[in-house]
Amino acid sequence: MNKKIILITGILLLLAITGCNKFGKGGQTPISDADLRKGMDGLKMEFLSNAPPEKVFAESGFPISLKLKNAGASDVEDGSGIVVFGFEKAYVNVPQERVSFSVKGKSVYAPLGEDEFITINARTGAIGTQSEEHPSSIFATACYPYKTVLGASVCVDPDITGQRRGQKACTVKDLAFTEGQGAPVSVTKVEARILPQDNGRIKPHFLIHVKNAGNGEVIDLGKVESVCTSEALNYKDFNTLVVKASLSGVALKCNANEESESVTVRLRDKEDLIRCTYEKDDGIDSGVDAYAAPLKVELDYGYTFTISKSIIIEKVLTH
Amino acid sequence: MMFRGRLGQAGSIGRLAGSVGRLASSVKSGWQKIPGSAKIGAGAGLMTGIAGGAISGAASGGRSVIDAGKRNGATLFVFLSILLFLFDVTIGYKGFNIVRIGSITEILKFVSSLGYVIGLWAFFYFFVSKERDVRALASSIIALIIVIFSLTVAFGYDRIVILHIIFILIFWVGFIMPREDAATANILLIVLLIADLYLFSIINVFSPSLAGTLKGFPFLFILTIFFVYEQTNSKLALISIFGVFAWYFITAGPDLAQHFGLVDIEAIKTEIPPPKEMFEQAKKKIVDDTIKKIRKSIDAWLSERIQYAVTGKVEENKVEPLGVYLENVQSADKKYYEDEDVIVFGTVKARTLDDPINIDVGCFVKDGDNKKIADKIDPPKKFSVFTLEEVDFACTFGSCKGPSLNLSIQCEDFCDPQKDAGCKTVVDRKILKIGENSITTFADFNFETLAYQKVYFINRERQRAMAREGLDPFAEFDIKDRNPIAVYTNGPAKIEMGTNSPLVAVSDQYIVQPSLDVSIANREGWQGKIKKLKELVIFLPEGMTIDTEMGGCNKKFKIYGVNDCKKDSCEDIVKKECLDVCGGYDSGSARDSCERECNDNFVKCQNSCDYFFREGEQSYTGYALQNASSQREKEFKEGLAVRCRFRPTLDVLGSSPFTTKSFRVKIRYDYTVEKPVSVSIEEVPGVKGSNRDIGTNYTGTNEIVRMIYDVAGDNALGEVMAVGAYLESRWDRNAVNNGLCKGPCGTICGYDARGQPIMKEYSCGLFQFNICGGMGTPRPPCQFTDEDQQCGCWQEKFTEEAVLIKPNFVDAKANSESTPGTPEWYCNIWRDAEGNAANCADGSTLANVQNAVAMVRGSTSTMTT
Repeated sequence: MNKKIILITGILLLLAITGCNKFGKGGQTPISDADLRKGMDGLKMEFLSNAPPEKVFAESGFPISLKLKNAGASDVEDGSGIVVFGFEKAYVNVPQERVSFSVKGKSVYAPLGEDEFITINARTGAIGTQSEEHPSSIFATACYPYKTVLGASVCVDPDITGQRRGQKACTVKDLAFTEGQGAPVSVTKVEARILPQDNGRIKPHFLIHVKNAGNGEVIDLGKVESVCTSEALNYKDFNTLVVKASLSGVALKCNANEESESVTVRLRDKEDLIRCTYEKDDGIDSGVDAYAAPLKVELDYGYTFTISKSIIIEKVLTH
Repeated sequence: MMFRGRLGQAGSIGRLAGSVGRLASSVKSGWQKIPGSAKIGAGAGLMTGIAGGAISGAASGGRSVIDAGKRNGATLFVFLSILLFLFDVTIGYKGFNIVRIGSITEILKFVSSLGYVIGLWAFFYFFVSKERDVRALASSIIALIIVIFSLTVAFGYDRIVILHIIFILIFWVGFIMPREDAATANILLIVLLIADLYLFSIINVFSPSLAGTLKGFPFLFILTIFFVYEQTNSKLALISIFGVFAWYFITAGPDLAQHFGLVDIEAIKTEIPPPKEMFEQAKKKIVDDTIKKIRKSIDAWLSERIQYAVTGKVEENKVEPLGVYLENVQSADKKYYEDEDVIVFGTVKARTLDDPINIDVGCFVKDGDNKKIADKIDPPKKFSVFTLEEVDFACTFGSCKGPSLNLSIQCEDFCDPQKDAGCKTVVDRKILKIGENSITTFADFNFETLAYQKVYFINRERQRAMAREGLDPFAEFDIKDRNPIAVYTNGPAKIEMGTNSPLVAVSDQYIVQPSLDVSIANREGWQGKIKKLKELVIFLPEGMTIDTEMGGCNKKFKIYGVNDCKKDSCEDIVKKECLDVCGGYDSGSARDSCERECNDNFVKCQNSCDYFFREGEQSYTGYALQNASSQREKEFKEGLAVRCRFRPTLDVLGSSPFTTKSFRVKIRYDYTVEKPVSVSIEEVPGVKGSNRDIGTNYTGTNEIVRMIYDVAGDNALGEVMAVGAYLESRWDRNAVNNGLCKGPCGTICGYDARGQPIMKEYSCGLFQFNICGGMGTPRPPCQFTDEDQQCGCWQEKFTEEAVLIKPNFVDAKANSESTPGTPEWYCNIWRDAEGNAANCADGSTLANVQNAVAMVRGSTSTMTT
């Protein structure tokens, strides 16, 4: 009997809890900037249904429509995004192979990001005289600049040895970010270290883990246009991104070059680790109490990916 | 899912759950007699996540239902499975045909959103079930997720799948659960769900071609029935397994062959050759071919092999295949007698989308290395097919025994060029022999086959950069067809192509240029061979070249431009051959129509030349094999191999990161397709061992009697004819005037009873034909020998006497009113046949007749058979 009562109670409780939620979707919570900067998607691209259709007649026109959705937090602005179409010239003719686009990312007004549609009218050519049909493919390669911004709160605790008494405002700990920052390249982890200096100061040191978790490849920001052509590329054009970090608004030094606030990083197997140190005023006074400080990490890079769709070009048979 | 031990308890809980349980109960009460129905209610309850309530709604009746299911379950579920199978066949069910999954993350999100349901389920399980087995719980959770996910997808995309889900749940509850422990039953449920709902889509991801083959394969039916059979040894289950497998393979056989790449296999009827030919074939196939294959294997092992594959596949046609086919080839009769014409007939079916096909059909019999063509062929001349046509053909091998009721071939139609001036056709009348004869029907025709090979091109530096970064260009550019296979159009020849890599790196300099291999061979499944290669042209996309001067290919090629296409190909080959066929028609509308078609096709050919060199934005450069016709027939058996090194320039690359181009090959050739048919020829019943050849000099009495019997074709008729011949000439083929007076015509040998002079020119040969008719036109077997119109017997064709007079004897015999077998009877027939007045009452005449009969019978009794 007791078991039954507990069971009934448990069921009712769970019903009450589940009753307010929909499966698979979030509830009616307000949108904040933190919510926008979530996810590991950048630009998504897909062919619209029947554009192109699976079967097309030879020597006839057909549409190619792309839906570009910016599911990330960063905007692709001022026509900096490029889509280039690939196809067999012998069988498919496209008036405009290269199209620029702009599309905004997630915002308060568009929490899922904005969409952009690109439509071109293609035309099939004739197929072999003895052939009844010919399979072909349409490719669409997108190249666009993107940005990842991470804002997190880290603890700066000069008491490295932990000798001070009293409750501290915060504890130095590593931060893991599993949900991404609304971009295909994300900061997955930030390890915080406090480095003691000889002058009685400390320098916060951060190990920033980045990872390409998206559906394409990272490219050098300056090579976004070139990647979407047939030009030769250098291996350094791939997996290259620029990292900038700041703590409490002060730029961290992430490279040996003192003049530059940013560092160029190359991903290995889609990941890399960047070390950044607080160098201003030769560090922070070790006498201050622990405090939370805002850490901001910005990644600038280009991104590219390709989708394809197969079509069959059919001949209009008279016999 | 594991409530067997707690159905009773679950029943009371189910009532609290409300409407689902009550509904299930009402279903149960109404359908209690039918075991499966209560399980419907149980299955419905499962889907709500408070499955215990629904199952328990049938709890009170459920136990008896389950017991009944144990007894009758085998038959019931076999029956239900068959019904479902038939339904699936009708609608073409293939489970969820999932063509794209957007993101695994989304699926995982959905699963995670079921956390509450899963939690509730687990909570429920531990409180209700006796079997707190972790394995059972885990498997039940997985099954629950799959069921809910499947229902969600089903409602969203394909509701017909719900029927399958219901069936699976019924089967699980009604048949599996009573027989297996909870964990095993849950695992079986998972297997059934995945196999029926998702297996096709999973296979489609990894191997679309295999998925195409397995489309319609009854996974659920097979698994269900196998399980039923394994549990109950039900014969009905066993029979239905075999029945469905047989149905599947019969109906899906051609697709199976096609999708497993066995496109070139065609069924060919096995013909048993005559013994002599069998011995030769046995020697060739068992000894010669084996030695050849061993030698070839050793050569292949020793020589360096090309690492990449030169392959090709045929472009199947939707309705009628391209090419020329001999169909329904058969003999008019199963058996023939030696004096009958042998007729073989069939249908030539031809289809083309380009060049007209000029076809010459015929039949032959092989005699060693020689081919003996049929005596008569219909149609006698070449004909053209411009699109799609079926033409009947027939070949006749004449017996040439002389005029017969059915024979349309007269022996006089044949001539001997050594003796007859102007003789064009020599026909050996010994074409077919007694016994088994293998007649080969053939069709000689011209044909054209085209092929293309898709190749990808990328900047070499880019490819290197990607390789260094561990990026696979195929994956990065979403290229699904990673290893394109050359495709050639349907027809009797196959064209296989390949490059050293499907992705060619393009640069402005090459240490080793990429290569293109082309192989042309007789296509498997076609009984025939390429007789002559008339043209082979390779088309390279603009931006690529072959160095024809510096040995760019292993055979000599020359530049082939659009004018070469229009002149050499269209005019000199296509148009000329077509007009040659038209020349065979008599002048008139048929010829005019033929020539018009040829000219239309000529224009079409020239237009297609433009296509070969430019299509849309893509231009092509052509390279033609020089002296293509000098390639020997045997080269097409193994495959005529051509390799060319080509040089792609950076112009090949377009504006996208990689480019797709196609190499094209066009060949024109003459082909002969053959199909054998066996005919059996027997001797005419009766006197055997005779030589039917006309014109043979029969010597000796017995031979003459044998000849007469041969001509008669019937013993009774032969006898009366032999009696007549004896009475006329004593069987002396040189006899003149009854054999009583020999000498040249014009000589008076004597006088008859009427006192009339007996002249040599009046009677001649075996049957004493009136040859000159009083110096009239000579008839065979006699001819004029000199200017005075003297007559002499024509020795060579004396058997024609018997052939010519046979109808007279046939009529006389039929009209005779005498008693058969009597001397009067023989006499009347003889006189009637010879055109003489009947005088068979005379005793001496009858005595002569009796003597003649005795002579005939004496001769036939001593004749060897």
